[in-house]
Amino acid sequence: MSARVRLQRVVVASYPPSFRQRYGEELAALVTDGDARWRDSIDLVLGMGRAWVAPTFGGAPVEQQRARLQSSTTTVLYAWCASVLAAAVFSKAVDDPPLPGLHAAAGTAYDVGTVVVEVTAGLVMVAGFVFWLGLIVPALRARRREVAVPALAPALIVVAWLGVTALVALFAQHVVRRNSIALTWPRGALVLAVLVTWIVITVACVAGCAAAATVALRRARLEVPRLALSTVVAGLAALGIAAEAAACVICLVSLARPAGGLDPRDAVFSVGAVVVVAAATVIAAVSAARGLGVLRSDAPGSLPHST
Amino acid sequence: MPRVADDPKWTDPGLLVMGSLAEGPKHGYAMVQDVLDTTGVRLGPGTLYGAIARLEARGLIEALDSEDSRRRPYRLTGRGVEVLEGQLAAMHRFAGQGRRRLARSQLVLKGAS
Repeated sequence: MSARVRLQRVVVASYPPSFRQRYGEELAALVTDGDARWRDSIDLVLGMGRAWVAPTFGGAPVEQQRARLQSSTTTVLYAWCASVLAAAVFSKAVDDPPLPGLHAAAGTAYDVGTVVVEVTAGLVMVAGFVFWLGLIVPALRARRREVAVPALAPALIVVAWLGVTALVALFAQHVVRRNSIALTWPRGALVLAVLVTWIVITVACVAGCAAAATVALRRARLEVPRLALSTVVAGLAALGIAAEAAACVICLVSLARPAGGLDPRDAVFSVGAVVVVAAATVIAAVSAARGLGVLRSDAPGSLPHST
Repeated sequence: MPRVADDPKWTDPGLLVMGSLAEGPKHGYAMVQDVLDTTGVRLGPGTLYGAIARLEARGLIEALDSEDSRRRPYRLTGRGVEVLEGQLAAMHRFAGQGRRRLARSQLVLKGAS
């Protein structure tokens, strides 16, 4: 197999799961059997981009509807995870320790935005937990390991992450106590390496939770009414992400006014976090709207022709 | 100098796929070859399966059962036949009209010179 064909197979593997499930084998066969050209590689990459941005779902109308709702749920889940991580970065940059004048500058808008985010997050967590129970309990009863294992994986990942976090906290406390605040080489480098590793593990854990939940949802092949519930929760989550984006932007704009409000390092982290939250907002809003649009349509299984 | 690639096109991938399937069921590779032979357009794999996915979602084509899941054939549905006939008729009218107009303008140009 040539390097070009290998590259093209990687691109095929990067198509959205619903597309791969339906056309993946055919597309891989076409890439393998055809005379691979660089132009085809570019065409595949563009096709992949289109498939992510404007997904289409094949099969019977009910199957199309099911795939659309499932896709909306998982897309918003990924956007939610990205926004949670970005919000943590933003909060660390501007509010730990609080920048001078943060709450006074941002005013009630920031506080209201924060409350909205927290309330929405709480509702989404409760609704998500109820949905998760509805997924895991029948899977365990029916001994469907292919569903139960990925559905339980996020809980195990969270427990493992808490353990790692506790160890990192103990280590940091121990080193800092023995060396006062000023850490010198090589202990300083060791602490930095441990913290960077913890951040990487945290990101990997969040991505792992989302991926495991996606696999469980896909394998469970839930019926449309159950997926309708998850889509409504996804819509709520999209609202929460939008509120979070608004709160971050208000805070950032308020802090940008007074001279010296943000130092360059905090500015880079906070602006980067706002960009991620804004992108997550757009992706979640579009995907949730498409899913809710399918629920609103009269005929079962009817999808807008242009997705 | 303007590029040939920037010239106006009639080669919508969906229409090319439907035109290819008008002859009978075909799988992806056969469609690429047929479109290349009949129109000189080479459909890339991403473009081809993007078009197949859209047409299938709109109910214009459908997959046939096949033992080989790597080479699943597709065919036009009844609605697909209707849509293709409509498009071809419109293109036929457009082509006829355009050629007549072009011929008239050529005559005028010849008369003027």
